[in-house]
Amino acid sequence: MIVAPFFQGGLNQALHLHHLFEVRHLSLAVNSLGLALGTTMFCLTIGVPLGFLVHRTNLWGRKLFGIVYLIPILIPPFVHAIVWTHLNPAIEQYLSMDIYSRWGAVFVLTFAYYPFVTLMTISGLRSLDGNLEEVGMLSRGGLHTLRRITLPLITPHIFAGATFVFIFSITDFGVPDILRVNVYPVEIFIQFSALYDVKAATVLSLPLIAATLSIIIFQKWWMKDRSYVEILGGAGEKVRNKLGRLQVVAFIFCTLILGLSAALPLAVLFKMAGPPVTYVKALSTSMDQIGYSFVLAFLGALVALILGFSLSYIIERTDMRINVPLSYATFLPLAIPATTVGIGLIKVWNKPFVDIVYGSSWIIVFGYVARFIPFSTITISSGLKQFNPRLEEAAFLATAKWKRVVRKIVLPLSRHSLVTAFFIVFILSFGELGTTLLVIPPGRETLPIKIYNLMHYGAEQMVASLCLVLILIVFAFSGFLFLFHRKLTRLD
Amino acid sequence: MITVDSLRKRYGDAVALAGATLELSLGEVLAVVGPSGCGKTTLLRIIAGLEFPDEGSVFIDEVAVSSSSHKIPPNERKLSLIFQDLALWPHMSVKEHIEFVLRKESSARNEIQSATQEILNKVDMNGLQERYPHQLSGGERQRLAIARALASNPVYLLMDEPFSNIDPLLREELQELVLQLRDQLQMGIVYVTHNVDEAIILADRIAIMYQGRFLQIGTKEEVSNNPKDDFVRRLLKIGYQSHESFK
Repeated sequence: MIVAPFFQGGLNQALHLHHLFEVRHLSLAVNSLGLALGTTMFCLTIGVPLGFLVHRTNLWGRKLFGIVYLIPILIPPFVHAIVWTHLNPAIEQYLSMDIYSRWGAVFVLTFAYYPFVTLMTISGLRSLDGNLEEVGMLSRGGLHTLRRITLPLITPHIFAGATFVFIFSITDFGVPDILRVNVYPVEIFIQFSALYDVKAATVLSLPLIAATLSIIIFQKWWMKDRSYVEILGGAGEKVRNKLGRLQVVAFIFCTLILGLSAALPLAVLFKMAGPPVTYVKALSTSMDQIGYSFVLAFLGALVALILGFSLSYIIERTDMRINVPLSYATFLPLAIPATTVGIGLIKVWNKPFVDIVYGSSWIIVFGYVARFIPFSTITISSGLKQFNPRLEEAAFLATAKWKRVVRKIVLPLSRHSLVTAFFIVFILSFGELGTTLLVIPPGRETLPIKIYNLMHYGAEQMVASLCLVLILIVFAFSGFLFLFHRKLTRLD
Repeated sequence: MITVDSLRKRYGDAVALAGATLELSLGEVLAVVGPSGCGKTTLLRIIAGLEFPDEGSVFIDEVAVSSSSHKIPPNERKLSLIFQDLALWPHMSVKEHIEFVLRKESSARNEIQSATQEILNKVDMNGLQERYPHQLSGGERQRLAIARALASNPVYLLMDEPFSNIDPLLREELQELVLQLRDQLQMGIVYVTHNVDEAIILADRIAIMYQGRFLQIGTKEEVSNNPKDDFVRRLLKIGYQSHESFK
């Protein structure tokens, strides 16, 4: 599905490469790269200190901050964009910035994606052996230890978070589309949907793929010999630094970031939605779309879970020659913009004999799987890495049936990563816009598509109330899975 | 009898086994002694069928079970392995560990229950059936690993330094258990250790391993009275000194 568009037209494809060298496309490249690099830099600037403050200091309210920082991830990026466009007059007045600009898009994407950096920073700090820092503290004190011991040891985690942000920003369609910033994913959509030029649309995704694959390959190469953080496995007490006089500054910093990225979007949406009657109207006219989105996201997460587990097991637990290429190929879907995935799906399934999929909702499920399976595979692989392969070998000494070993040993021991993988793919699928927009069967609407369509008709109240409904469902599902996860942990 | 014939194994540039050859009879404890990284664990893993040799073969009761091109699955080799880190399944209770090994498609529930009970009796773990590994003491975990290994009714038992991280008193207790089991069940046991002291207590024969091959194999007396070279002499000297001072 992912590579299909690139094989349409054989050698003729090469003739279309001239698209990439037109002057107009230079600005596309500048916009796309600028957007991704700018967002990544700002996310690092905000995300790393926030992670450190929440996990390694005596910051006031750090337990609350440690939960609230995840809220922006649960809000689809295009909803962040809707909120900030509503605030544009105030932004123009106080910050002298037009949200409908490249900087505006960087601003919005930063608030949508910085939690990935914070999440990875905290994950690195958690898995770090506290003894290593204590040895540093004994000899050189806190700041020196932070600079020379802690940060270098968690750099692989921070870099992984930055890679995610770069990839998400460069392939994002919803935010630049709403903010009218011309970047590759938007141009691909225009070429395909408005001008029906499949080849131009496909060729335009090549620079994105090149940029994304380069960073993924660099990251995998760079991380190759740096798995020491996981190996140490979080032994020892964690060093918690006292903030002293910096307490107030740190508290204001965290409150400001979380206020702007989590509380403000929700407050603005409440204000935009208006009286309760709007919610009643929005819900009564959108139950089909809500149910449809839920079922599709659930199926997408389930299929991605099954495929992700199979791929991870092959990569992590077998000696096949295919392992290394497969582990790189796992990341490939991340490099493909949502709109190009949509084109690929159409090219594969809009053919005789298989067009039954093209006209059905399964094409959306396949789209979710194609886009988000890397998250499932990466999460489950990381879970498999964390338990000793000897546990499986001990089982194989007793039975040759690998299905039994998988069912009785591997699946129960991977259950945390399986739940997490399902959760991540569900959340991403539930808010997916770019691929769904291209492949949705006639007469059907998911919740994000309905919001997107209503937005273009200027139905502000309905848009805001449906955004809140979408966020509420995501929150409820997250809460349910959080409780389920906690129950699993208690069983441990 | 287990026969290991000229096993060779490399990991990239590192040579793990460089032509290792030995034999083990039923009812015998053979201690494989050598420094860290000399290939002891690789040897056990190849005998158990968890890895392939690059060259050479393993025969169990005259049946070829491992060579570079041929491999019989681990569960069909009439043997069991106790790992250095024990590899207990954290999500399974004591009873479930044993039942996992015992349960075959045709087995009846009451048969499994009584067999489980019998095995737990052998290792003195009655009353601990419902506990999970994290609820057991160090010694109980070792006993559970032994019980799980016995559940498959092995003819040969491979032990990879299972008592390396426990206190001397508990180690002595478990060493006695191993010897009891050997006498009761007439199993052949390969006991891998870097501790000469332990080898002297447990073994009928000692095999000294260094850089992937055996320098000397013989009874305790043969090896100590006639060490083949300086390395063996030094290794045994350290072991005997420690053994005498402990006594």
